[in-house]
Parts: sequence; C-alpha cells; structure tokens
Amino acid sequence: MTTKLFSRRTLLRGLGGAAVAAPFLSSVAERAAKSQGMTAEIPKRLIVYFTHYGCLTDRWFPALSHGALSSTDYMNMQTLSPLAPYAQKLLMVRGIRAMNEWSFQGTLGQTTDPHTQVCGTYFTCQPVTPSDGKFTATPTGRSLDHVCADQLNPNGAVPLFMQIGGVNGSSSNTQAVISFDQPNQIFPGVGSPTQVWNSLTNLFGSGAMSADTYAAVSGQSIVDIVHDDLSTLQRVNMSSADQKKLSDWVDLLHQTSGTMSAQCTQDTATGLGLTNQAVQANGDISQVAPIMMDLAVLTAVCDANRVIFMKMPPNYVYKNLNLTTESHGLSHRIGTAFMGGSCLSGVMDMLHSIDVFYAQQFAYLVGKLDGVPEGDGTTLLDNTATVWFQEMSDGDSHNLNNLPILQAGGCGGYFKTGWAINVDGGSANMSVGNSDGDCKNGSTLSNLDDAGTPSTVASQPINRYFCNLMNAVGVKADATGFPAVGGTQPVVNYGKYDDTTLFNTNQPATIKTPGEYSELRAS
Amino acid sequence: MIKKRYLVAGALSATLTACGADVHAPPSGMGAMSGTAGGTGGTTGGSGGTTGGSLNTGGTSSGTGGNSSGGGGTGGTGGSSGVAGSGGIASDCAPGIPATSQVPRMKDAAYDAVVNDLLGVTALATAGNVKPSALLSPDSDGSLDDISWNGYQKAAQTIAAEVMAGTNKAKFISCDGSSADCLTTTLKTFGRKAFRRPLTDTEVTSFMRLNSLTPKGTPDQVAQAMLTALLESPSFIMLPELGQNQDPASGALALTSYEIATRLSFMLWGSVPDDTLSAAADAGMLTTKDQILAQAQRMLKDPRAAGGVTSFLHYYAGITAGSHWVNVTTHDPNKYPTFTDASYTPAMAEMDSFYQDVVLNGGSFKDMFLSPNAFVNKDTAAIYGLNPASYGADLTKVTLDANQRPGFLTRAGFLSTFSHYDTTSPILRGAFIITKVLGIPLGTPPPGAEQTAPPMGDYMTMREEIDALTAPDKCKSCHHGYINPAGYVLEHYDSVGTWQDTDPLGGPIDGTGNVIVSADPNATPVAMSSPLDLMQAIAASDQAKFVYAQQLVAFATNRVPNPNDDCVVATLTSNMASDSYPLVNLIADYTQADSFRLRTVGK
Repeated sequence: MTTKLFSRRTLLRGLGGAAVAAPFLSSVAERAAKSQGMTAEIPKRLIVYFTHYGCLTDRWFPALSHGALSSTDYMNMQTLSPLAPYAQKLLMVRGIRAMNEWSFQGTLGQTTDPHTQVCGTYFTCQPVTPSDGKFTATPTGRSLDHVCADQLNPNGAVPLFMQIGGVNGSSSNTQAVISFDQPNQIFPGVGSPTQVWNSLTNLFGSGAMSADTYAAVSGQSIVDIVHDDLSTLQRVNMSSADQKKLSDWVDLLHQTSGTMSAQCTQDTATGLGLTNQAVQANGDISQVAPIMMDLAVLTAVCDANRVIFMKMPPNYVYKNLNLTTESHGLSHRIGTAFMGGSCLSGVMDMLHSIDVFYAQQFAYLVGKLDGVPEGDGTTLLDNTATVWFQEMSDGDSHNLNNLPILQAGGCGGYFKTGWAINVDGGSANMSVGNSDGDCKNGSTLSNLDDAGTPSTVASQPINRYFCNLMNAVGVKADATGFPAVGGTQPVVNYGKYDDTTLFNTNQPATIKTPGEYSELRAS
Repeated sequence: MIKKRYLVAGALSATLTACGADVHAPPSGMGAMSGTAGGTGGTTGGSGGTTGGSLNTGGTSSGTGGNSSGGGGTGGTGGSSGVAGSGGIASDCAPGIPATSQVPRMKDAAYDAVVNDLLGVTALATAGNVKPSALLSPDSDGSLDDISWNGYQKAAQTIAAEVMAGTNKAKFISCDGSSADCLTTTLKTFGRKAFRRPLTDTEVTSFMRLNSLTPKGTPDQVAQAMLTALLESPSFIMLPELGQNQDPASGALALTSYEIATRLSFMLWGSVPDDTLSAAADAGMLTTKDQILAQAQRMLKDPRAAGGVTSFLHYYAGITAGSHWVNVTTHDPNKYPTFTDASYTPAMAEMDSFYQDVVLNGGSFKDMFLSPNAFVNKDTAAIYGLNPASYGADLTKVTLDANQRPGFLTRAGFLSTFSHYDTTSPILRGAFIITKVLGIPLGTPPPGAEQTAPPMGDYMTMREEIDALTAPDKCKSCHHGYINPAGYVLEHYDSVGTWQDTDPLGGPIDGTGNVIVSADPNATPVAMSSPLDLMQAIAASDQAKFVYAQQLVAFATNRVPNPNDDCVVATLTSNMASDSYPLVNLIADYTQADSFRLRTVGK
C-alpha cells in the first residue's frame, strides 16, 4: 500500500487545479509522482451501503444459507435478483448479529431506543450514552469508517460519508446517525452531490499542461495567503479546541490524496454519467441515489478517499415507488412509529418494493464498480470490499441477529466470493426469518419476536466480520489486537463488547471471541 | 376499529420518571429579581429616549419601562443595564461569563446573506443557479474536513469568477486594476467589509503578491484572484474574536469595537455590519453599553432584522433538518382534501411571516400565542376555511377568528407537521408544548414502560385511543398529567390544521383538558376547554418566557443554556413580565449583558 508519498492536492493547487479547471498533462504529474517514489500498487478500499429498518428477510435471503450461489440462484431470489449478473463476485455473509439490540426487557442490549442505540452501536460496537437519551444518545467510541480512514487515507483524512437524500442526523435526534468521528461526536458527512462532485473535479487531470499560467501560480499563492492568515490566528491565545480547529485547517492545505490515477479525468466522470448538469439536477431519490453511487465510484477512481460510506435516508416517503407513507412506519407494518396494531392495507407489497429498490441501487453500485478496470484483468470492484449492511433484520421485530449482509468484491482476493457462508455453524438451511408471518390476519403479531428469527440463531458477533474487513483493506492493530495507527499486527479485536447481552451492563470491556471469521477468506 | 399499540421510536413517547422534578431554572421568585445581587449594571440611564423609550432595560425591577408605542422619542426611563449578574434568581444561576469559541465559522445562512450584502450575489449561475451556500457543508462547529474546505474554495472561486464577469464587478473593484494603487485601495476597502475590520499592512502585502507573480496576470485575473483569496480567508469564513484588552471590573477580555459590531450584525441581521455600524467601530464607539444599545435599536428598525428574527424563530421552535417540522410534509389526500402537495411550503412560510409580523411590528410575547393574524395563499386558505379562489401564490395577511386561531401554534405549519400522515398526534403536539414551549424536561421511558400493550377497543376518537395507549401506570403520570391534555385541547384541529368538531373515527371532539403549564412539581392542572384557554395560559407563563429568553441567549451566543447565561436570562424574563413589552426589545436588552461585550478563554 502506498501512503503519504505524494502531495497530489498540493501539486494540483500549485498548478492552479483548485482555482480553475486548469488542465495539465497527466504524464507530467505521473513523472512528478514517480520522482517522489510513488508505486503503482492498487489501493484497497472499503465501501459501505447502509439502509434503515431491515427488510422482509424471508424474501431477501435465499433458502441456501451455506454454499455456492450462482447467477441462476440470484435470479430466483425475490429481492436480490438485480444482483444476479455479479453472483460470482458476491459473498453473502450469514449468521451475523449486530450488537446492542433493543427489547422491552433489555436482555439483548440497552433500552434507550430501538433505533438510536442500534445506529449508534452498529459500526462502533460501543454502548450509547446517556443511556436514557432516547433521541440524543451517542456511542462511547468511534465508528468503523473513521477507524479505517485513520490508517487507509494518507494523512488519516476523514472518510467520505454520503447521506443520500440529505444530511439528516443531528444531536436532537440520533435515531439515524451511524458515523462518529470521536466518542459521542456525530460526523454529519455530506448530503449534497454537488459538494462531492466539486471536491473531485479539482483532481481531474487531462489535456494540455498549463503550469505556467497565471491561474496556476495564483492558485498556489492563494493557498499561501490562507496559510498566512491561519498562522496569524494561531499566535493568539485560544482554547485547545480552537487551536485544533486552526491546526486541522493548516493540515488541509497540505492534504495528500494518495496515488495518482491516470483515470481520474473528466472523461471518466462523463463515462460514469457525471456532469455538472447531472450532479446539480434536483431529482427524486431514484435519481439522486445513483448519482451518489457514481460519485462513490469516481471517488475511488480518483483515489480521493479509500473509505466510502453511504446510506439511504430514514423516515423516507418513497414517492418514486408510489408510496405515501414513510419507510419507518411501513417497517412497523401499520404506517406509524407505533408497534402493534392494524396492518396497513398492502403493506407487505410496499415493503417489498422498497427492498427491491434498495437492491437495485446496490446492484447499480456494484455494476459501476465492476466496470472500472484496474489492471491484471481485475476491476475496481475486485479490489474493494463493498458491503450492503442493514440496520436490522426484520423491521417490525427489530432483531439484529440473522442480519442481511451482502458483500461484493473479494478485496484483492481476500474473501471467498460466489458463496453464501454461514459463520454460525455452517448449516446450509438456517432460518430465513419470519417476516411474512406478520400481517397475515390483518394485524401485526402480538409477539414482535415472532416476525424475526429466534435470538439464539444466526447470532455470531458482527465485530469479527469487521475484523475481516479491516484486515482485508490493510488496517493494522497494535499489540492489544485493536486497530491502532502505526500498528503492525492483524486486527483481532473491535468494540467494547462482542456479546450483545453485555451492553445493558456496566461490565468492563470484554471481547469474548477475538479474531476474524476464517471461513470467509478465500484461502 | 381495533387497535393496540405501544409507542416506540419517533413517537416522542415521553414518560417522566418524575415529571417536572428536574426543571432547569424555575421562574419562581422571578418577581423579586433585581440588579442588586452581583449586578454590574445600572450605570447609565435614560438612553432609551432616543428610540422612543420602548426599551425596558431597567436594572432595578421588572418592567418599569415598556412603552411599546415606540413613536416619539420620549420615555427612556430605564437605565441601560442591570442585565448581567443578578445571581440567586434561578436555582442554578451563577454569575460569570461563559467561554465561547473564538473562531466560530459563519453559518451557511449567514454566508448567503453576507455574499449578497457584499457582492450582490444571490445565486450562482455557473453552478446550477443555486444559492452560494449550496456549495458548502451543513453547519457544524468542529474542524473542517477536506470536503468542507473544498466547498469554501469552490464557492469562493465561483463567486469571484461570476462577480468579475458580471454587473456586480463594481461592488468589488471600481478603479483601473492595472494600477497597484487601485488594487491596494480595493483590498483595503473590500477587505474592511469582508473581514469586518481593517486589513493589516502585512495582510495587504500578503494579498498583493498576487500582483507580482510570474507569469503576470491580466488586471481582471489579478482582481479575481484577490477576491477569491479574500473569500477563502479564514478571517472571512470565521468570525474571530481576538481582542486582548482586559475589562478592569471583571478581569474578562473586552471585545474590540470591530468584534462588537460583528456580534451585533450577525445576531440582528445574520450578516455583516453596514457602513454606519462600521463607522462606529472605526471610531471606537462600540465599547459602552449605551453605544451598543443605540446601534442595536437602530439596526432592529432596518429591514434586514427580518433575517435575524426568522433565524431565531427556527432556533426557538427547532425547525431543523430531521425535525417534525420538515419530516411531515404530506397528508392523506382522501381524508384531507384541503391539504395538497403544494400546501406544506406556504404553511411553513406562514410561520416565518407570522413571527416577523409579531416581532417587527411591536408585538409582545402574548401576541405570539394570541394574535389572530395569519398569512395564507391559494394552497392554504382552505385549511382556515377561507376561499382559495380569493388568494394567489403569494402569502396574504388576513385576520382570523381570534377565538379559534390564537397564535402560531394554531397555524397549519405547526398543526400539520406535528401530526401523522392520516391522523392527528395529540402526543406530538402536547410534547412540543410541554418540552419546547414550556421547557418542562421529559425523560425517556423507564425500561418496560412501553411494554404493556393497550387494551383493544372500538375507539371513537383519537383521544380515547391515546388515553388507552398511555393508561399503564408507567406512562400515565406524564402522559395523562402533562403531555396528553395539552394535545387534547388542540384536537379541534385535524391532521392538517382544519377545524373539526367530529373525529374521523366518528365520535365528537372533546377539546377539554386539565393542563399543567407550570414547571413547579406541585402545580395543579388548570381546566381548559379551548385552544384559546391554553394559549392564554402559555402567554402568561413565566416559565414559557424564561424558555424563550433562554433560547434567545443561546441563539445569540451559540452556547447551550448554562448557569452563567441563566443569570442574564432571568433578568430578560423579568423584562417580559409586562404584556406590553415588545419582543423586539428583548434582543436589544440582551446586548446590554456583560457577556455580550466580554469574553473568556476556554481551556
């Protein structure tokens, strides 16, 4: 892996890249890169697609929980058929439980809120505080995207976190917040495609060299002027928080962006369907979601970020599917945030249409990633771990075991693909859940757990899968086995607990089963 | 109809462990407030006369001034201070000046206003005709990241390019750019406005390097690069407070006149100082409370005050991304034909117009909750029983039945968003009034509180259903004691805000309730039989006034409510005691607090 070798952004700014669309010869840039000792090694990336409120699990999962899954198998799946063309590159990870499940009794986690604690814990594997902060609680640790970006991005730049449909998380309602750059600190990410696009167009290289233009030299001077201004401010006595704000800004002026990709051009963008006009169009979610995914692909092509998380919006009315009720209420089957009661007429079909829409979007992302060649016959998809995570299993039962997880791409041969792999015992006929058992008689089940999967089944900790992903993309651990900048060891520990029943206790941090899932590996 | 439900996420299912037991800064004893306990005010008197004596800033008691006529330069009975340091009023009031970030970034809304005021730019033609802040990240207080910084750069570059190529060019440069003198003058003149202080010689030199590069740029290229650099500068993007002069009385650091001008203009206008305010800053005439007050009073009469007022309303009411205000925008068209897909936007615009109308036309706190004024268009008129054909696309000011439509909580903007798609939500409405308006904190349900499903039943009204839903003991104390009654009194407004006497479930609406409008744990409920009863009680509530003042201070300072600021809040609350006290004066009164002029350095 290449790190910190070449200040691409600084070079571009010096060439005026930031100030204007001043083109330059990529060959010049590449020479400059080589002169600074850069290698051509292909970077590994982690791309995550996250959707809320689970799914109708028995329509989502295939009957086969462990074994090879062909294109034909996917074609026959009710929800995942759009993924059929990529079957050989898919890995369905079965048997996983996310941490800190809500229940009335608090036996499987905290009792803060069925969504606040789940979203807060999902990628952190930490409990949330304050434990009674139904709409305000945040986790006591950082989330996976930030932990990975620390090590994968040159200079430890923050991950790209795109909120499709707009930034929706805030401290006043934490029910849909999944990214935390510090313990108990929400990372809002980006909601506007335009903003991501603008950050990438700066990196484009093509056409004629123009380093000797005024636009190019003034670009560097403007950076210097900004630097002077910050330096003046830094000489004033301020709080440590204020000082950090200033020094972080100074760091951005020297930001490096990793390897130089000759493919990071306007032509590539255009090939992906990305133009100013397309990005600025204010369409509905069916238009915005693919644009965000194209931007994720372009971000990877330009190597502007190696950790890309994106999520679909919460509480969303999918008007593009002719729905009039927001998605959370639908997941409860009754159209509101209440639980129990009379089923909304036709609700199962509505939920299924959302599930299929989500699958179509993921298929779009996978297809686009697979369309970018990266040498030696591989594609961008092959060198990436691209994973669709869902907030929960069944949206009415709110269970976190038997989690629907679909990975695409083997991350440079690290993972075994073309298979469903059941890490909870290896059974080939594990439960697919009971979502369709709900609403059969016009009202939702009185015992919510009945719509999910019995809690003892498919309940292996997600922490260990996160270890797989971190090891695959090159995150290292220190001697404790937890991820740490400067570490040299494989990651074997993640989070505070890997046993969901401990989240509602105040026990010291405990990882009962360190290590990754070896059965997910290609070899 | 059979329903059994229990509350979960998103339904604001608030059950208190001890409803009202942990109330922040109770207003009891407010009447005893004075400027004597630790107060540093009372140093000047009679200044209010210059603007019609409408300011009640008396440092000695609650409500001596308060002539709301604002007409003729008479009055001015109050001193201009006594705001800070009235310790011992609220239970957790502690005199002192809280630390605030010295380098806060402009909010995105302010960025748009600033770019408009400085350069006349309201939309970027080359970026899809969006407002400039569309290129920026959402507001946040932490460090910039790469994308956020890139957003500022892209916005600066785009604005500079469009300004130099268009009719707004003269707003930046109006002389011959081939002359170095012209460029220096331009830098100093525009930089003074953009940085809200004069540029130092070192800074001018730093910028002028853009005129001596190789290869050399054309005059327009150089000017464009300079404008880009100014707009990318941290001193433009942030509102730094760097003054180092110590205030002898408190030991805190005094803001410079430039920094005071910036606080005033961003608080009152959400934008940069105008020439008059800048001249006062240049002359060092913004150091005393009187000087600050005079400017504040002038600025509140300027049309730009509408922007600041609207921003505060959104802060106060919590109109933010992710809130109910913006999440519930559609309703079942079959059940509620008066509410179309086009209704939400004007209904929310009415909230802004209503509040501006109250504050900027001399209205008082009670008018917020009692004014019958409304602003309707063709898409919202029917909700109020008016004929849509009589209205166009623009909002028109009308007067509604004062008994049926008292204040902003009886307008469609609130009523339709604190509802569900196809039913009302007495819980959402009630919880908003109890928590947001009255500031009575609601804890989260204790474990298991949501567990017991309500009994099945054939409910004839939403009220019956909610009663049953919240009947279990663990829910009852707070839902039946606090939340539900406040929501029930508004049940005469259907899911979109239209008046109803019959519930869609078939039963007659029961709009009565025994509502607790005090944070005192021993308070007794008050029997109410109409929305007007509830709104009158809120309008007269010291607790509601305290919350309002507290939110104003939090908004102005970008600080969460805290014991230091609560001393100021307590005094502001006492100022609001009179029903004739104009709300607009509260803003001017706040500028008299020590914490408006002084700062401390955080750790």
